[in-house]
Amino acid sequence: MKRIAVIFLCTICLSLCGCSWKDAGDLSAVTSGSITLDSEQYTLAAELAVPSSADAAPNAQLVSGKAGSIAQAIDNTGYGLDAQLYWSHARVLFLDKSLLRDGIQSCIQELTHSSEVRPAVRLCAVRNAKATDVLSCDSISGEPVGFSLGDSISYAVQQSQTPDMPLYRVLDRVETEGIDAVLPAVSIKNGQAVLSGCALFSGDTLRNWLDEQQTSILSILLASGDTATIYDADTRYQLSNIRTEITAEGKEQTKFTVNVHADLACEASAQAKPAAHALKTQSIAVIEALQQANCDALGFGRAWERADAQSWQQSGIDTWQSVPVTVNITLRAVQSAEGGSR
Amino acid sequence: MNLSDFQFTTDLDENIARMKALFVHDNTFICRVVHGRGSPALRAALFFFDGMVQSSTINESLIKPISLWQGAPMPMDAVIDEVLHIDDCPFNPTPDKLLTAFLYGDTIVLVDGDSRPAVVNTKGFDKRGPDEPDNEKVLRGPREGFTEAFMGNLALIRRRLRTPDLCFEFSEVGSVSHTTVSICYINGIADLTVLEAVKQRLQEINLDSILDANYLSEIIRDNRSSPFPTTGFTERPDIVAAKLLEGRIAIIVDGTPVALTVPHILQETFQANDDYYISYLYTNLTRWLRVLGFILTLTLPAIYVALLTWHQEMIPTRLLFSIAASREGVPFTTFTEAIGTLIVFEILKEAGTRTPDTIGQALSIVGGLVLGQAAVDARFVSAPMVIVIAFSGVTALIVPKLRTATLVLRFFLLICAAVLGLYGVLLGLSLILAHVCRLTSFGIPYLTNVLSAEKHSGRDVLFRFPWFAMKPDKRFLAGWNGVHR
Repeated sequence: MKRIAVIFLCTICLSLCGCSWKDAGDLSAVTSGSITLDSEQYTLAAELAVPSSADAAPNAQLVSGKAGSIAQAIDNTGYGLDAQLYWSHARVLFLDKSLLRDGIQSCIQELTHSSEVRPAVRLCAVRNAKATDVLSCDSISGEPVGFSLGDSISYAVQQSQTPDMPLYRVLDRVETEGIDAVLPAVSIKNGQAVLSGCALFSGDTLRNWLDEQQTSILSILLASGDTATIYDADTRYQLSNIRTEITAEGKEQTKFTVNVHADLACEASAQAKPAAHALKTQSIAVIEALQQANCDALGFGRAWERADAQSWQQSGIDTWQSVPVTVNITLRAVQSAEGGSR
Repeated sequence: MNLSDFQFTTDLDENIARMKALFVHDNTFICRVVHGRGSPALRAALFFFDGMVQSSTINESLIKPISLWQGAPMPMDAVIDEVLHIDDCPFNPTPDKLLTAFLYGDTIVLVDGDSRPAVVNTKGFDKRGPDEPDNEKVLRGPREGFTEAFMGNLALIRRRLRTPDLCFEFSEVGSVSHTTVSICYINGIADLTVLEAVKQRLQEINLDSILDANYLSEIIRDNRSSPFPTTGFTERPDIVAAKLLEGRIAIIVDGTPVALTVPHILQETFQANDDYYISYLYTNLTRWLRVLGFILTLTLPAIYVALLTWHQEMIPTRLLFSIAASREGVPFTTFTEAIGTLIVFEILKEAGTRTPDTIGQALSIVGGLVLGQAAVDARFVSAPMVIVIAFSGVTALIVPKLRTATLVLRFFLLICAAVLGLYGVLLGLSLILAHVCRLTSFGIPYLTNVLSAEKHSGRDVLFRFPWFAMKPDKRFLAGWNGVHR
């Protein structure tokens, strides 16, 4: 009886293994992809890393598929290949302008429901070209261009040069009220794909673009990176340990307060004051740009809802644009040899 | 040969004829007849084996006194008392004991007119010195090791424990070999329950011969099919002395330089011989390395296979590219590759063990370096797999006492990983843990002290506390309540 029980348990355990045995050699790792919408047909292009024992870096191979849904497009993309497409290592998905203008919600939902794509894959808007063209650009590092752009975005996020927008975060912003999505933007310059500001969304629709400097300030306000650099004329300030807090106050007359705390690496503590002033000025300008685009990227609506949900509902979700915003910058001077330079 | 039927008579010539008939096919058998100087002369016959005896003892203590004896013939007991110059001389033993002692280097003395023999201790066969055992070398500490000489081994233990409580109880095992086995323990410290169990199990042995301690180990141990050792082996008398002081029992087998120690629990497998002879700080570091090494050697190939076949998303992207590039052209799946490489590694290791030292070094270089590199170049295996298996193999050497467990369980976990991925590895480890939890050694739980809540019991498990912080009367087996103190 005991033996039968053991055999039974072992057999039961085998059912856990399912059918997902995939040897590493049977997989084609997708490093990045692009999605284009054309006449209600999604075109999905995938950049595959083809291992090469001769070269240190893998070679890139582009494959594409077309279908009426993302899931079907993913299936079609791998059609005819010897190896199965493996999306878990995809770092970034480039979204075409056609898709951004028509609304990204259905695309984001389909991507989220797909079992192939990881929720942590970063999304990126393509600014002045077709999304597929980005994957055909020259690569400086020798690695596949999408893969190296993924590296660039990771680094830019750490340096607060671009907002960190993985799929799950974009979904959260697109599907809930009181906060809007922003996406890092890429454009093609001189045949090379480079980071180029960010795209502002209202709801799920593209409204405007920010340039690199504005994007950097927005990233500081989003506190997405470990460190940040701000520029005031010719002066550079290095920030670290950035914390941002957005609050809504007042019953009758609501007003928003943005509190930014950071350490400023400087040679003398007197540098903190002009740095705070510069950051404050630029932050206000960015917030005004957001208000003009009706893109609540900082989540003023959510802050308002947290403070007074009833008042927020009564005022309407777009009222946040007209609410006065106060920006408080607190910089703690940290003596450093790497402090501000001119 | 039926020993119980063998009887001497009062006629010396007939006795000589019988003995010669008994060993007619043994050219090492020697019969020496000696005459005294009296009238009538004392006539005696000495039977012994060439090479097994000490010639000087026979010449000086037996032949010379008899040949110089000027008195009349006398019975054997009187000869022992008045003629022979000997210390250890059983008189008229049973036929079984007589022949067993005779075959082990003693000399039978018979006199004319008396059928009762005397057995004189004249053992003097060649034996090697108590050199340091190759398998148990130490950085610092005693360098003596057991040899094949039984009494010499007991003396090595006795020299270290000068207490009247040290007991050596002899018994004979093996219906043909009649191998002498000694149970060693310290009275008052050893657990009586374990002692009784050892005696009981030795009595129940039904083998024709015991040529090595492992014969006994496989028969008397608990959980005979487990890959984990539940009896300890050592070739060092200082280790045996230490174990006896901890309440364990040692079993010394004649003709083998290895002593068995029981009970044997898990914590002992991670202890090295010189743990107690060098700084406790260094010992603690190396002991942790041994534990880490054991875990790595078991799980590393399994985790590698699990990651590459089930959980590729857990591998950093660049590493995955690197592994994929190195696997390009390899015709086997990762699992087949791992199993194959492990088997080749074990073959090389076994070949290295069985090869003479001079060739062994060359074999290691050819096997390890040349063959490995050639296999990678020829795309039989990938370079990461060679690294994983080689690292796993090298780390296994850090815990030699768990060699069998390592070998068996590594394959077991590898299969678990291939079937169920990391879940399989965890399931396999859970099964191993469950198995270890139910192991016992002579009634004592295998995890004694590892999981004990006793205050002093864990002071020599993962950490070796300094001697000033150890409680000698509470260490090691104190976690088990059944130990008699």
